[in-house]
Amino acid sequence: MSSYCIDLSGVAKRFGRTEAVRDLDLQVPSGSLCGFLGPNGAGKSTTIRMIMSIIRPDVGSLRVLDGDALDHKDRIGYLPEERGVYRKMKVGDYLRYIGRLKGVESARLPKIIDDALERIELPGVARKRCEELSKGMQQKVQFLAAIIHEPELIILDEPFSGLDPVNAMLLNDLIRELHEQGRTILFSTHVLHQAERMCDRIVMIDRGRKVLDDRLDRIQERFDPRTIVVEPLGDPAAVESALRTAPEVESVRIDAEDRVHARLRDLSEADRIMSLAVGLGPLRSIGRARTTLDEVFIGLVDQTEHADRAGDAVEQIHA
Amino acid sequence: MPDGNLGKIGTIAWREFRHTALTKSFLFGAVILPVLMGGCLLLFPLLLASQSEPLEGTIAVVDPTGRFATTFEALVTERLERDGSAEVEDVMRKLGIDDKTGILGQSLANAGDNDYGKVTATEFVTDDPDTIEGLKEEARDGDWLAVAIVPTSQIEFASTPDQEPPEIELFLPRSTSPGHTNLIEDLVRSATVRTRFIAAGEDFEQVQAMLDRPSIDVRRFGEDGAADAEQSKLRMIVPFGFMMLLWIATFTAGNFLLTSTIEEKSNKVIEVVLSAVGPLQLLWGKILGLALVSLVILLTYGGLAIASLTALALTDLLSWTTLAWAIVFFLIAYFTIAALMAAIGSAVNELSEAQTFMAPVMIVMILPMLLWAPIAENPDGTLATVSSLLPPILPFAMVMRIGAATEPIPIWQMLLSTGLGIASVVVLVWAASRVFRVGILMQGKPPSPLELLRWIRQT
Repeated sequence: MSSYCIDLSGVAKRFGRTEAVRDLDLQVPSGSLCGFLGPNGAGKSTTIRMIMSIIRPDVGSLRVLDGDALDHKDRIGYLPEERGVYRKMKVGDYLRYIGRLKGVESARLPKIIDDALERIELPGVARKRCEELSKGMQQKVQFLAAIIHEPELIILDEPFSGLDPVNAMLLNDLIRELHEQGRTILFSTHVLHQAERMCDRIVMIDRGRKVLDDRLDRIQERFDPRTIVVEPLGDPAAVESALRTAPEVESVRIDAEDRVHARLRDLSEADRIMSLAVGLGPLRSIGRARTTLDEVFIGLVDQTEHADRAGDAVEQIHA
Repeated sequence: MPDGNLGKIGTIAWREFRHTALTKSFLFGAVILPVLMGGCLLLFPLLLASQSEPLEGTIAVVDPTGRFATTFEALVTERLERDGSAEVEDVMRKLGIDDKTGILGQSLANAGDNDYGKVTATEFVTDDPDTIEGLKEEARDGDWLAVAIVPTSQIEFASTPDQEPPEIELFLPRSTSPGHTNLIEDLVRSATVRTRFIAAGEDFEQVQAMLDRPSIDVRRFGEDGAADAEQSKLRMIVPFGFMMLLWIATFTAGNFLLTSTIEEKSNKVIEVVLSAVGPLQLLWGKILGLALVSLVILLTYGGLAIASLTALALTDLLSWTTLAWAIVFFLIAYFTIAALMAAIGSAVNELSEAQTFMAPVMIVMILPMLLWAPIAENPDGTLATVSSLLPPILPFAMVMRIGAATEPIPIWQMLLSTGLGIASVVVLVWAASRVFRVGILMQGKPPSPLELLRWIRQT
């Protein structure tokens, strides 16, 4: 078996005049917890639907678990973005029905369902109709339906949308547990800090194009701002002017909260500059700035917008 | 198809059946209610008979000729002694009902026997206005059942042929029921006619016997050369029953298929289900599950119809071969309707949007109802033959022909119709699966008919 659970190469999908996905290469290694990020309308759900063989790509090759997702439905757990339940069905019946469709033996299902409902903190709802549950409860039941057959590959499309912070944390823990059990997980979200907290790998797409695909630690290293943030108790202007004179410092600025940001020419000089800052007077805090995925994302989106505009301009000139 | 896939189709089919047929509303609406209605229809004549009081009392008759009262009392005696069963039998024979068990005839005859009790007439041979006014007063107080004022010219009818005689006047107490009013009116009118004959010196019973239109016992030679009783009126009703049975069973289940598909789309549960099974498995699961629902409806209504025919000893109208062919054409009709409904359900997002597509389907499917009379009257005619070979209405037309046929339909026509029916079902299910595959995940504006054709064509 290939080391990739999901392997997309040159995949593109167009709906009428809209190019939903363009020339997408995506490899998700087995056992990874991969965040699939992008703004609304970036093409995340279209890509996931193509991975699930719900829709077919116009071009490109697509392999899931070394084959077609249609042939491995029982090995894949899928939580779609557009999800619902049979409103009149009882929760237990609904989970049993989905479990049977996913190939779980009938005899095993009652225990699996009871345990799973207990785990998502919904014990005793098996006899309730789905319509009697709150939206958040329904979402947890839907998540359960996606993993009831203990799949080796789990694809979750916006699993946190509509959940309150407590339930989002519960879902977060569940996803981590599944990952620790060795399952491969791909989940899409536009809530970037969620992905940052959970994933070991990040794929970002914007307007159908992949703009980032790497391990999280490498991304953080690559987009490190090389900046020391100093929060002085005294006058920030004095700290700013002192740091500006240091040759290792490329630029200095004071933010709205009177913190001094010193961007370095080289990260290896960080310790020396921090020692220098400590010597300038009493400080509330000092540390290296870290790049958030939000910042990376916004930067990358800006870049692609520029590139697209330039491309359009070139096209217009040629036209 | 691998076993696992068949198992999944079975799981879907069972869910569809369970959540459609094993619900209180379905069991009440489609099973219990028709059975109750059938029971009520059988009980109706008995209820009717038990709720009317017999007519009793004395009618004051003002008749200057003095002939009325004798005839009236003879008429009442005759009515009291008359056994209603002979009339009922005659009516039933004309309808072609061979009531071998006698249950229906007896209950209908009993229903008419309770009309009359002891009714007498007191005659007043006078035309004195004061006497008449006095009688009216007494009738108002309820002393008389009625006061009938019969003018002489109504009795001695022949003497004034050119003039319209003055009308008979009838005065009734306020409390007289409409039913009793009709009975009194009928007695007075019949007695007047009788009195006219007697006044003219004729024997009324002889004249009545001469005027009776003779009844005809029609018998048709069967295949074995024996002459069987003709049941022409029922031969018209049986095909209609067959067609309606098929129509109700297939369209009710088809409607469930339409609504359940739309519900799955609007509930957004469809993508969850499609992550476990393919669209074709889902389609087949739904079609087969609702086929069982359709079968339950067919068996309920068909069972009631067969029970009624058995009660009326009319089982001669049906044979095992007829029923077997009816099942074949039921299956063709069901899969035709199911394919259309599944395609429509998958293409739209709401029931209201489905109406646009339902309209042309209903226009075509209403045709069998319009063809009932011509097919029942001439089941071997060109119209009947052509429509029984024309998809998608052929199953409905053919069951009407089977029900109406006085001699077996040529086997080649039955086989050709079956073959064409199966071929059309294959094409329709194939097209429906194409539409279903694309439409089931489509949201937003419903497709135009041209788009639907494109969905069917695209691979």
